[in-house]
Amino acid sequence: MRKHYSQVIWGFVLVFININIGFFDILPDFIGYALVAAGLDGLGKECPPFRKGAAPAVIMFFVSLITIFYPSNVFNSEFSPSNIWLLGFPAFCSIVQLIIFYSVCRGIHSKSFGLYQESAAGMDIPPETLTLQEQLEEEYNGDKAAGRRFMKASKNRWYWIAGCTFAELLVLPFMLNVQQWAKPSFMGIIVVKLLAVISLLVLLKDVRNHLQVE
Amino acid sequence: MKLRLKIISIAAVLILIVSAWVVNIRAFLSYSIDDPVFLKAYLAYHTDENTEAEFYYITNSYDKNNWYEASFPEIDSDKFYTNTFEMQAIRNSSYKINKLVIRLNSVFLKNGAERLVDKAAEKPVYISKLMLTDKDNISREYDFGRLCMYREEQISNNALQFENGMSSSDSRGHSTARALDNIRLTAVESPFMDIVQEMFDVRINGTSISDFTFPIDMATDDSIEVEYALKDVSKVPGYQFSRVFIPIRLSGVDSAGGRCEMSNMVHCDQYYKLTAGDVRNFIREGR
Repeated sequence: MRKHYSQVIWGFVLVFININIGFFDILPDFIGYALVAAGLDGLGKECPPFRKGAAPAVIMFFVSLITIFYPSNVFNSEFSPSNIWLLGFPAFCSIVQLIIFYSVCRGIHSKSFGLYQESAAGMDIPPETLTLQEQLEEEYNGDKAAGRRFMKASKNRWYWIAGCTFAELLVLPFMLNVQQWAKPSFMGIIVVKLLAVISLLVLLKDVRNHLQVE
Repeated sequence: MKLRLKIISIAAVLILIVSAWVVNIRAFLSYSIDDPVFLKAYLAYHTDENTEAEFYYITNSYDKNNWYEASFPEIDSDKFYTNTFEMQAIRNSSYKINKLVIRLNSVFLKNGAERLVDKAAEKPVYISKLMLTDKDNISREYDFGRLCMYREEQISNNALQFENGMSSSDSRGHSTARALDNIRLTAVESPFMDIVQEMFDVRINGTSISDFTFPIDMATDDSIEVEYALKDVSKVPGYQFSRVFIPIRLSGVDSAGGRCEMSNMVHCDQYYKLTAGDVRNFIREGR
């Protein structure tokens, strides 16, 4: 199980870190997506929501294979009426990635909820109804607190990633009409999304370590 | 209630995203131009062996040039090759300016039997249309404005000797000539006097050519000065850019009845900087 968590974490690291030599990325995305797909499939055996991201990861595996031969960068592309459809490509990738992230966040939430339920057996208090004081008291206090913390964090990360993806989809068509010099200003959204993804991976690592799974 | 709010929020975001896509794609398609648009040029060249005619045209910023042959249909020229260069993107627009250069000495007529520059030496040639053929062998005619070509031969045994002259990049210049004989100047001439009078303030010995009266007599060693300056116009009215090299010629007769003359070349090189608004208006007019 620990292996599957690591596969997902390292898979995303490969996907989101690009080290290019010329046009060639020495950390190719397709290897990353293969690891993510394998990891999510493995995790899905114990926690089904994880598995929902495996198929989209396989799709992204094939898509990123294509981009090795046809690299495209929306910031440098010059669009014309004949290649306007190219703009749909990053939009498609963002949507598929969003589904993968949803399955990861949902998986963490579900796993954490299980943890919470196990440790809070007999206490019929849903985590959302605890006051802030109670939450602070319970913080770092055994599995119950950890479960609640992971649930909240996964929700939080999901909101950030979904928000950034929607913002990305919103600004993407403006690439057609804004001047070249204005395009880097859209990088802000990508940076925020990257930070949200990093924090999700840190959370995934925390979950893995907390569960002490083999 | 919470669920309903969530659904409404997601629906609003989706509508916003779809609207952004629709509006941007429509705007992008509506701004694109199907054919290059030539800036109206006013060109007047003295055609020597190295004369190159330059034309400017607007294309979409993403367009790649694929012209490879050109001809002047009005004079039934042979086809010739052209060079094109991307100049610059027009700020705040989706267009760019390109330059098309034609080496006039490589333009032939009548299947290579006659050169255009030689024809221009016989009498001035006026051209306003250019036929361009692309790689798919599709030809299209473009109206680029006005190109005037001429060539003048210097006369020998000239009794009016050119002494010195200068011109500057701000389209000002002067030249002086000295009489080597007793001569009588009878006229000031130019193949494009209309342009000269419209664009330049030309003075002979400090008097405007419109007020100058001929004939004037000059004794041996007398000097005469011709000055010119561009009037306060940024371009020839109705044209986007102009590049004119025009001779103004003082002509007369010497004591033996032989012809004498002094040619002074006036020139201006005006390229009107286009803004995005100018380009949009220009393209709208062109359509």
